[in-house]
Amino acid sequence: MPSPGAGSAGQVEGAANSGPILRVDGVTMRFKVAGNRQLTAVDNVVLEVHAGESVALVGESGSGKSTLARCLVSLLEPTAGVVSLDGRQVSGLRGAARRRVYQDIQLVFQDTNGSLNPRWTVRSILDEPLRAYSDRDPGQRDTRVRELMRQVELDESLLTRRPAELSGGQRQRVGLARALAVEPKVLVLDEPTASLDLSTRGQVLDLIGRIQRETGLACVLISHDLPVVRHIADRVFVMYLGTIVESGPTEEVFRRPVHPYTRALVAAAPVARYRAPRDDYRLRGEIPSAMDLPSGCLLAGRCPSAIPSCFEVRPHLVHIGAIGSGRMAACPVSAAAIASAPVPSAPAR
Amino acid sequence: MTATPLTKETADANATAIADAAVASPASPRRGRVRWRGLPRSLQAGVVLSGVLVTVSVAARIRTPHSPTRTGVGPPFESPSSTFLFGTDQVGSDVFSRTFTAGLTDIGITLIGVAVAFVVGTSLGAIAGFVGGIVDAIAMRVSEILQSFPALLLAMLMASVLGGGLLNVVIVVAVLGIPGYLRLARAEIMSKKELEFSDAARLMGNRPGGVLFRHLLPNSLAPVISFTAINASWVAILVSSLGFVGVGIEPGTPEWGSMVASGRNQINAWWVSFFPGIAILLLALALFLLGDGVSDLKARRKW
Repeated sequence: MPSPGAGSAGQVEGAANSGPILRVDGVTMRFKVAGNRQLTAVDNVVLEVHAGESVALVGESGSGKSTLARCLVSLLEPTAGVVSLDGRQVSGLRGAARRRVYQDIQLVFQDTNGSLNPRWTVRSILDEPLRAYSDRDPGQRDTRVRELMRQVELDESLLTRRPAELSGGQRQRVGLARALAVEPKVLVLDEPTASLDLSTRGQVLDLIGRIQRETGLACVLISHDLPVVRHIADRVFVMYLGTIVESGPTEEVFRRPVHPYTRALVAAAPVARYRAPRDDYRLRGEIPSAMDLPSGCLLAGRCPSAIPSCFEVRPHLVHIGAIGSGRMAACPVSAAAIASAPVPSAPAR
Repeated sequence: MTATPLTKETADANATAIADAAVASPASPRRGRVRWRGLPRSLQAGVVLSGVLVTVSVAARIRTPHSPTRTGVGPPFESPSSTFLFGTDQVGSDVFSRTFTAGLTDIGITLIGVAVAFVVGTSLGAIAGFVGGIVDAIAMRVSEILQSFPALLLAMLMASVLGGGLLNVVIVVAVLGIPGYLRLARAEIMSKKELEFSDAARLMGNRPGGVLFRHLLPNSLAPVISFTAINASWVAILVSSLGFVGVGIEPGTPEWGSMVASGRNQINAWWVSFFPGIAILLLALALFLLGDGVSDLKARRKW
């Protein structure tokens, strides 16, 4: 079943279906909290991911990235909106139908410690999805487990270890292998390198990149680590307080951020170069509570470029054609500035 | 669940049996043998003491110097002598034979009661914690009602409703134990439910029951096992308390609590109460040492 609006697909690589593999349409996630108040973790998010593509969701802590990730893989049922996988709607499914969805979309967890059953050996951890999702006999499952270990570059001698007996990098590889076991079409990675030290971070990232090239699966990377995002993602979505404020091809977004939030985010990322030219564009204060959202632009109170109208109307995500295709941002002030003048940009790196 | 080795073989065999039993929860076995010398002192003492208790109790079922149930094998209130090592009671039964014969009764009721409470309480608590909502609310209110009564009073009430017999005593003991296990397992499951491996288990194709019983429950058992270890000695005392107040066990059946009760008005014939009293003490001590030892071992091995 082809999904409507599949015409804009520009980055499909050899996929049978020409539509996006993952489509998120107006997904909103609200939680009830003490009293009659609501917390809006994800607000009306729209995004598409095409087969073989990797996109990244970036934003500071509390911007709703992980909640959105859980909505994508159907661990959470969105309050509103629809998630479609390969043209099929996956929101609202229950029981066995819900479990079948997990065959097509898998999640690599952030916490390598908490996401693996501490009492199980690596072998049982990798065997479990094979038991549940395939009718392989024990011998075939064993072959597949070894294949997965090779795929994530782990030695077979580790099969009898328990998570506590592995290093952080090894555990994350096990998490990756487990997610790959069912051969999903989309892999969501929730801060896959946040709990790793720098030396293993690069290895795991390279591994993810290699596996993606080899298997052609689509990746959704959740991260606040901009260099990591730059390394992996084709396109990037910048999230702030549950909404997407800017999107576009990764390199372009980072080179010429449009939205003040993106600009501040890029300016705040450390640069490993002595006396590198820096943009000292900074936001004021902390990310506000997702409980009592202001009526205007969510960033207005912290934004150095805010004008009075920012406090009144919530801006929508619109195309910014002036600086290249596929760029969208939710900031009329910056958009107007770009349209009328040469592009103000962060220094290129 | 702590297990008492039923035979007392070599010390090493016992040590392994205990160590295996301690980790033989629904999880996979641990690697590496446990050496007797490496075990906590309290566990060693508990193993030896419970081994001795079980051995003599089993032996007493095979042979005793006098019939444990017959009255008038000697004169009433005969003081300890070479014929009647622990003397005789008010109906002329041999206290020695009765004390050792009672061992298996008290140990059996205690262990089965604890085992039933453990299994039923933990399962119900796990389900309550996992499902939440109305199921959880009902489970919690019922266990609060049970726990708001003094244990012995509730036991007497239940026993008078159920009637006598060993099975009913086991039921009473188990029901009294269930709320403790239920609340503990519920709390553990509720905290483990929030961890990512519970979400991961769902993604790996588990049904809710699989998430609970394959993943959450085995990882929630450690504190429940510690509690069991401490709880068992309390249950041993509860069992003999029931016998003491004459609830459940039929008159004449050798049972430590009722034997202590039968001699309590005869201060001069101290032996009638003293020896079964010592036996109760030793059983409670053995279970406590085992429990303390298991907790020690767990702390040391961090599982």
